[in-house]
Amino acid sequence: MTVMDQVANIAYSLIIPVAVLFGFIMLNAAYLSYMERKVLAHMQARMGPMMTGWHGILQPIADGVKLFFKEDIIPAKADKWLFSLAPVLLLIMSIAAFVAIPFGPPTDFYGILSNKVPLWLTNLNVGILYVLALASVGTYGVIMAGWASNNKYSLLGGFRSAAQMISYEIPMAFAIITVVLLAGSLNLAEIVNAQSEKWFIIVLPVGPVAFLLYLISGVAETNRAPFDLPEAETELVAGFFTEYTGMRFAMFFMAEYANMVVISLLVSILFLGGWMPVQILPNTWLGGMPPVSWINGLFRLMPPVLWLLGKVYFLLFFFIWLRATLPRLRYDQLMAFSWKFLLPLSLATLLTTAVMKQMGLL
Amino acid sequence: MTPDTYVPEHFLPVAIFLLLGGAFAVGMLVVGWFVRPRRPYPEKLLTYESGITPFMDAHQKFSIRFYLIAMLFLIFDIEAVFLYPWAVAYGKIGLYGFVEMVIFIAILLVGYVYAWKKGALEWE
Amino acid sequence: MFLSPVISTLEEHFPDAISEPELRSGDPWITVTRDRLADVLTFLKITPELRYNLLIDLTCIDFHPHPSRFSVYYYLHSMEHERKLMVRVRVPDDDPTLPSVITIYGTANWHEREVFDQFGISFRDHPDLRRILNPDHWTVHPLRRDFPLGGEEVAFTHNADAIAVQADTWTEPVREKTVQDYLGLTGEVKEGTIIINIGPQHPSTHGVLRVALQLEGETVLRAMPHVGYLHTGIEKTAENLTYQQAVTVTDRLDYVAPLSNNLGYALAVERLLNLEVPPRADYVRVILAELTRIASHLIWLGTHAFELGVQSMILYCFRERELILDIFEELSGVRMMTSFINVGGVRTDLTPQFGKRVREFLALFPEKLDSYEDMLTNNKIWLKRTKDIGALSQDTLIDLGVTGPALRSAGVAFDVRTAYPYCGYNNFTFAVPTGTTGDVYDKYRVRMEEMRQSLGIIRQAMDGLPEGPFRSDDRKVTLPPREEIETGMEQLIHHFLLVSRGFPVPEGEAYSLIESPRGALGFFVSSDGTPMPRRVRVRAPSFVNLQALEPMCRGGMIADVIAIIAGIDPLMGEVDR
Repeated sequence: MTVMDQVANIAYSLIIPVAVLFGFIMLNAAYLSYMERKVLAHMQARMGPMMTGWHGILQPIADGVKLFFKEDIIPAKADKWLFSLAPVLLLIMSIAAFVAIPFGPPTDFYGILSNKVPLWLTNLNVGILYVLALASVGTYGVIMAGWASNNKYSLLGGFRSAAQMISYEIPMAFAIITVVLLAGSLNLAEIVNAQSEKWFIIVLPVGPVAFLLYLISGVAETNRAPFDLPEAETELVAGFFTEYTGMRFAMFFMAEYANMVVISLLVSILFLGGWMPVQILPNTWLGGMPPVSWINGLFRLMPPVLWLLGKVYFLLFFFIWLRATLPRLRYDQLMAFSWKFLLPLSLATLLTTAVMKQMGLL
Repeated sequence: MTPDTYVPEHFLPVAIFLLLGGAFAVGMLVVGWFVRPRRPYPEKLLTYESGITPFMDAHQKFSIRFYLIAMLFLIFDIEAVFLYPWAVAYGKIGLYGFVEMVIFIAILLVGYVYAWKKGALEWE
Repeated sequence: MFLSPVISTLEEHFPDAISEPELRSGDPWITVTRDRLADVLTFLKITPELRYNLLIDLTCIDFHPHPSRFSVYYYLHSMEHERKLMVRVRVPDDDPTLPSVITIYGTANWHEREVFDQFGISFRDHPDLRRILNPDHWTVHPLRRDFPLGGEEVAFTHNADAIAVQADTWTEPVREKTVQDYLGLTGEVKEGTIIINIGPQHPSTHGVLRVALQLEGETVLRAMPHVGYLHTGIEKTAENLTYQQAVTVTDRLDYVAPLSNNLGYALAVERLLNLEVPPRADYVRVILAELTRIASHLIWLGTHAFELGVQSMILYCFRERELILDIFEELSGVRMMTSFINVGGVRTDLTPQFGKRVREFLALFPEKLDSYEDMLTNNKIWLKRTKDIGALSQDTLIDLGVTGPALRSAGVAFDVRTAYPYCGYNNFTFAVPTGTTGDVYDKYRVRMEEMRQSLGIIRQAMDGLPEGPFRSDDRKVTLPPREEIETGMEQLIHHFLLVSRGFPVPEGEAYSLIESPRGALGFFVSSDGTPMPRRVRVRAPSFVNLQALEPMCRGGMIADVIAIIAGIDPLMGEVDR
């Protein structure tokens, strides 16, 4: 192997995928704000951004440029190091979570490449644990920001974040363990492959329950309405990031949007069959007779990665939809809800799955 | 690539991304540093308290009401950690593994029900 | 001389203390000596056949330069017997003190602070006699008649150093704040609690309300509302305008229901003038007042829902409110500060499009209202956030002087429109919706139902709208028509005088009470016989209702405080005046 080959190899296997993935994250972080504003606007009988470019399409860029030119204020009484570290930590964690996520089966892009390349950066055998761990560390960023600001609203926001974390994380873990039981692996790609016949969401009776449990916990993890307690603007002004300005403020937002994408990806991968296309009916139905097989074949024409992204954007839309519709919970109510309802339910789901597997029903 | 074996190279992209994320975050701040204004004065550097000069320091003893629940959380979180490998190996360990885990969960469940009845999950 | 059974009873029990009994627009008025005031009020409150349990208003008029300079008025209402009584106490200039009546009527707290603030009458045994509307460090009492309009100089600068340099009477001395400034308590704060300040610059305090909270965790131990950030001296300004001009400042009180204020003020002045307005004017006033009520409740619904996290509702509500504002614009050319209802009737006749637009609104709105209810009424989270939050007993609410939807939600069917009908409200059939517990959810249900009832009233008024003049033809109040000015000398003189000087109003006092969207809105106008009022007192329902915030919030959480504020629906323009 020549040096040139080695360089090319590294470029193919590392630099290009890293660049593509990073670009994907940044584009999403920026344009999700646009999507959110537009979708919310149309749900609320208004237009949303209209001035910058066609239908305000350049709005995220304008916002970004504006934030670069904003003064960076660190309150005199704040803990300067923690204050600076918090948004950086949060952003790093939300970006790094993408590394372990598979976006599709290995592909040669319809013959463009000479050999098949995987659509993931790394295929960790503990992929799901890795993503969960990063998300939990991200919560420290929130608590850190709340504490370091030396602002009472931020402090309360930070505490709320902690309270929220100890509420949703266990039902979330149990919902994931249910999936792991079904798939027999912690590897995300294998979890998707285990759903080639049947998505986990339609594995009755536990699938839909685990899906809902995970979805609710996921919304809570991203601090989105109706669980946007740490930043509840009508109560705590802006909660944990009240004191942040300019680029630091932008980092919190990018992290939030990146987290939304991660959660949507995970929901798709764990329950909605990842990159598996929709099957309106099992292929074997009516003995594989047309038109079922035709339609299923038609669905297969769309590249798997687009199937995954389609599911992700539908879920993101769903997140925004929730925000437009639901009131915010109080945080003792959230705790009671997850400890008295979600936790027993998730435990029951897990045990049911185990029992049914033992009996050979699943 | 078989995911069953532990391969350290798999974590190389993780390290790259952690660095990249850090560099990106710091980079944004550095670029901003060149273009943004700096006009601090004491009032601007006050923490925000709805337009009133902050009265007490926010860094002080603070009553956390969810202390007991946080303790419960730790226990359940550790339980979850045990459950992950169990779930992965579930197909191989058979009935023995199932019964053992049921006992494990049952013990925790008793504790949970006890805590609930004792009012640990109630606010106040 | 027999005037009223109430006066007879009082004269029997307090022969020395009662004087000057009279009847004014149906209400008995009496004067009580200073030293017997507390006894008389206690007697009025607890005697079963009297039972004046609601102190509607407590205010003061400065009869400078009269020797017994101040008169303090206690306006009482009996829920049981549905009648009112005005008790007056004269306070001399050289010893401006009165006993506090807080122990008898809890609502007197803020009223007495306001009288202290504005007139310098100090109330003995008041637990917390601080200024309420004006800055704490002021030494003057602006509503005294000898205090000139614009007598204060407010330093407008954002530079704190400059303020510190020119510190004098008008600028606040720089000093460390204490617990008392926040909570009205002296001494140390309990360990493990923090004091947090919500407002005046906060997304959900309906403007510039400030509430200092003492928290343990997120549980509220004490909530102290601070008002006065929007104090613009509207009462003082009105004293320096002619009667007709003063209508424009009433718009600025409750700026989401300006026509209610116009109406209350106009009724008080008309009572002084002994002026009857033609029936058509009454009908138009009713239509406008009810449209205003809907518009105001829409703002309440939108902000209330928004503050609990339902982001879309506020935009839906504003969309429908827009239709009402369009109707106002059609009528008067102005969307909010219309000043359309003024002394003598309404300003112009209805435009040809008015009826059509109102009917369109009547046809459209019920289904919109249903869609709002679909979104909230049975929403689990909404129920969790509003049920059993901020409930107080009927007696506590009445003691605190709470009126309007906040009182009716607890099951007290007190509505000024039915208790003391004005503008011919007795000609319309409508229900007074009530709740049971008085929590935030009941307040929500009551207001939603009120909007439906208002629609019914508007429909009846539109159907029965009589033809005829739209304002009084009394030439001493109403401008003569254009053609008469061109032909008659006397009319021209009237026009000139009305415009340049205004009309004089006979000496006396009159109180009008109406049901504004937020509760009982009172206007107390005193005339000294000149074209400008001696005193215009506004009994702002929000101001009084806000006193209930502290007991409502105690024991709740921060998130509940926001819900409770939204449930009270205070409007700071009216609170601070």
